[in-house]
Amino acid sequence: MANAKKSLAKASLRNYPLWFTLPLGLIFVVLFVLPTLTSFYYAMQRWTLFDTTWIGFDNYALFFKDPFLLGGVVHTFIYAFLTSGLKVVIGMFFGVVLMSNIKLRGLLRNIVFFPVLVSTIGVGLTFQELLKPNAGILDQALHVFGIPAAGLLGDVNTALYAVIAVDVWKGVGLATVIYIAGMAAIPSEYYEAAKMDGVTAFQNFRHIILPLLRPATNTVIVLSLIGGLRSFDLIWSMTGGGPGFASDVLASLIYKKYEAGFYGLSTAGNVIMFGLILILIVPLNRFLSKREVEL
Amino acid sequence: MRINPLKRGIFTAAVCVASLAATAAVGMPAQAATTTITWLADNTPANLPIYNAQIAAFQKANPTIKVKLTTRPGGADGDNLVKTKLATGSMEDVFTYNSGALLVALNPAKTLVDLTKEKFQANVYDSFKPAVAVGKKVYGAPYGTAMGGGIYYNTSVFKKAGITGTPKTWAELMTDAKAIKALGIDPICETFGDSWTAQLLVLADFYNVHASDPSFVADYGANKAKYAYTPAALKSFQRLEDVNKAGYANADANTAKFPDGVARVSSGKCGMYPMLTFATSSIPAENQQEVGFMAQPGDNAKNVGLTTWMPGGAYIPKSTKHLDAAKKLVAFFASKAGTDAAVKGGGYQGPYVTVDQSAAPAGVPLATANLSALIKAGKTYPALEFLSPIKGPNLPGITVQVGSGQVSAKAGAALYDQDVVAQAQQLGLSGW
Repeated sequence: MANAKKSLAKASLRNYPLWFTLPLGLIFVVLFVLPTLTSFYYAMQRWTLFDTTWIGFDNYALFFKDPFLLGGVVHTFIYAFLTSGLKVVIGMFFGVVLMSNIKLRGLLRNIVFFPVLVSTIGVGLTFQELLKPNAGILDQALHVFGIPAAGLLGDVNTALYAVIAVDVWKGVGLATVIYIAGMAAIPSEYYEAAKMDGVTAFQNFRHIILPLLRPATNTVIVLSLIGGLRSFDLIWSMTGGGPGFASDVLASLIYKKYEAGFYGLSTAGNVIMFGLILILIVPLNRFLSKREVEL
Repeated sequence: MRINPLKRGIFTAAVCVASLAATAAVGMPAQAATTTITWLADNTPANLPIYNAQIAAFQKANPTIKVKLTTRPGGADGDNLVKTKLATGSMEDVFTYNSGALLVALNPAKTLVDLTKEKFQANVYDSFKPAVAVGKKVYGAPYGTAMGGGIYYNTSVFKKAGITGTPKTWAELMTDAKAIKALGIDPICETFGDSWTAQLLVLADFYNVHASDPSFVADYGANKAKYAYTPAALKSFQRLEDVNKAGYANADANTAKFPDGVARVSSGKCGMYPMLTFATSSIPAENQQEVGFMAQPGDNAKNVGLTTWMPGGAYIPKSTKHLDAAKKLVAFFASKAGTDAAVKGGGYQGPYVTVDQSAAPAGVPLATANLSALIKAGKTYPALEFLSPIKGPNLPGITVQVGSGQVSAKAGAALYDQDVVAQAQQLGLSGW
């Protein structure tokens, strides 16, 4: 049966001639494939923009010798896994709530989705002001919970987590929409059959919604994990990687090398990050899609 | 550096003014064909009146040349923009930019016009020329005033704390800080939210480093001396640790920014603020006679001197199509007419490095008067970045780490030594 389905899918693919993909393919090659390939070349150069000198793997060696690299990698993983996990849990919760028959459903959906539309740099600068010690509204409100005197962004131990919280606030709307779409795709027969069997609301969620939402969950996990691993703009606009290097991630460390004019070195850093994301995401994606249940 | 909407507004206004001036010229009686040249300058809001005054004066003296101003962000963003423009041959006819280590990174021999033999060089102090030279060729004219790195202090706060004069040693400074803290005022303002400001206590200490270890400059450049293992140099990092350990900084040091620092030392919310003297133009008019400036003291009360920063330079890229007109503008910047126009537009901000420079008018801000007196006294030494192309890019982050107590002074200095090695290797210097 699975085979029949596969060949059906193949046949439906063939309905579209290959040259349909040509325009987009061309853009993809020019703007993505070519720069990616040239970056492998420039990563082996000492590159000042004015001239290049072949230095082999020296850039890679230097990149791995960076005393702040380990901290950056650890922060990157904390950032990626925490934002991804929180987006799954909170996104699914919002999704379930916003699919139910509650008042003002349309308005609430919009409110949850709204932050996704706002520019990340704008969000970063806004929260920087909101969290300004002894001046920002959010900082004042959080004093009830006894936050550090230096402010959430000024304290070495909280800066990264404050950025993570804002990232989740900004990104959870997209996860919610994916879950809502996933739930809308579940045929109502399942619910009707379950109703006949007299299941509770929790059983309904645990045994119908949760397993059938797996494709949606996988999408959210993969998207937010990739996003988290290469996250840069929010961190840069909120803390600049600081205080010191306390919230530096891989991408911000690489950007600092670019800022310093070490173009070859930062390209090598990007190649390493590219490899790292590939190593993580490809097996993860394969593992997750194996566990998907077909509707 | 981020471009805020206000700056953008000012910039747009400046462009409007410039283009208005251009249209006005069209209406004038026919004259020799005019050449329009372009000038790229940084977008510090306080500098815009200076640019406009200088353009007006230059165009009046050279009716056949029009100057069109374009601005760029400062900091690392500006560095990259300048490099990109030079590398792609799209640089403006004249651009003003840092001198010293940052200029070397532009590869002047390949990208800039050699100005060694220009007549205006006779009017430039020889002490400035190495800052815009590579080898024996001089590539720029001075633009702007000499600056000092040191400590701004609020005279009213000092008076309230019973401090007379300025501290002559670091130990005295710490005692004074204690007296200020007793008043409930933050003794020393730190603004690590703009991490470049954290470097000041280290960079401005260089006069003292050089005074107690004159061989450091040469040994450092030759990869022989290290910050972590040279006692005189390690002390510079120790200053940051001292302030943190004593709790003399503001509680929000890690997020406060440069404008906060200037505003607080001006209003007396804090006693001292380590900074470069370009900040004087940001002090509100009503506090200009209240905020003084002193050199960062070391350990020897008999030898207190100032670490100085050279003015930036004006350069001409090889790609220019209006070389003669561009040379005229650069020569104008290094002339009395040029500095007079700058003073008229933005006030007197410090001594120039030209022979026939504009004199300080009466009623300059107290900090500017202090700076001029320090330079006149002759006890000055250039900051390390004017003596060596080696400056690790992570110094801001590392000084924040030391200044906020995340790592010790010794560990911070060692991290910086490592950072410097990476930079020297990227510059392709031999011996690293």
